Amino acid sequence: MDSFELAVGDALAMPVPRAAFFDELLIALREIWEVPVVAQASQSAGHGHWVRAGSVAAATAGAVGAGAAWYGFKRRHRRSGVA
Amino acid sequence: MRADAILADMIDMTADLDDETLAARVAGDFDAFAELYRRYLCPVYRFVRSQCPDESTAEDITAQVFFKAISSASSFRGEGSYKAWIFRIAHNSVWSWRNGRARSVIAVEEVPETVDPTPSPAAQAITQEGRGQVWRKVAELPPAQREVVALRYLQDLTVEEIAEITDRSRGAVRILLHRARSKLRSTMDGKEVG
Repeated sequence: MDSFELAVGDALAMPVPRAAFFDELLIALREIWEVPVVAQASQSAGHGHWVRAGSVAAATAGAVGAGAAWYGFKRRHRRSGVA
Repeated sequence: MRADAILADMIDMTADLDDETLAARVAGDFDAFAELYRRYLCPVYRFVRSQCPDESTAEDITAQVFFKAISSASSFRGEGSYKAWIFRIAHNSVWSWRNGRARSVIAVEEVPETVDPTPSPAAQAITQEGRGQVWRKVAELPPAQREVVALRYLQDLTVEEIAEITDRSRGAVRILLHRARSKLRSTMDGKEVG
C-alpha cells in the first residue's frame, strides 16, 4: 500500500469500541450460549426441550435465537443508559 | 459472570489457535468463541462504524453481527477464512440497516468521538485533525465505494475476499476501488493532510 492508502486505513482505524460495550456484549453472548433462548422454536418443531444458541440444533433456529437475544441485549443496553 | 472472569478463564487455552480451528470448536466451547470475539470485535466495530453515522448505531449493528456469528456458528465450514465469513455477516448487517433506513450518506460531521490515540507508525506524521479530514472524505463516498475502501485499506482484505464478502465480481470490486481512489485523491490532492 502507498502512503495515501495507509492514511485512509489509519483514518478509518480511529474509532475504538467502548470498554463497557466490549464487556456487556461478551456477557450477553455468554448468556445466549449457555441459556435456552428459543423455546418457541423447539415447541413448534415438536420437541420437548429447549434449543440452545451455539448448539447444532440452534443452527436451524439461529435467526430466532439471535433476534431474541439481540432484542434482550438492546433492552438492557438502553436501560443502562450507555447506548 | 463478569467479562474479565470470562476472559481470565480462557487465557492461554486458545490464544495460539488459528481462527478456523477456534471456529470449529464454538458449538461446544464458549472460550473458543470468546477468543474470536476478542480478535474481531475491534475490526468489525471499526468497519461498521465507517459505514454508519454514530457510535450508537455502530454498537447495535456490531452486537447483531456477533449474535448472528454465535447462533450460526455451525454454518462456518472452513471453506474460506473466518475473517471473510464474519465480515460477510457484517456486510449483510450493514446493508440490512441501510436498506431499512434508506440512508446513503454518512452525516459528515459525525467524526468518531471515541478514537484510538495511537495511529500506526506509518501514519504518525498525520495529525488527529488530518485523520478527521480523511474520515470525512471517505464518509462522502457512495456506500458501495465506502465499503470496499474500508475492507481493502482498513481490513487489508484482498480483492478476491472483498468480492466474496460483498457478493460482487472481482472486476466490479476493482472498479469501485478505482473510482473511490480517484475521488479521494482528487479531493485530497493539494491539501495538506495534517
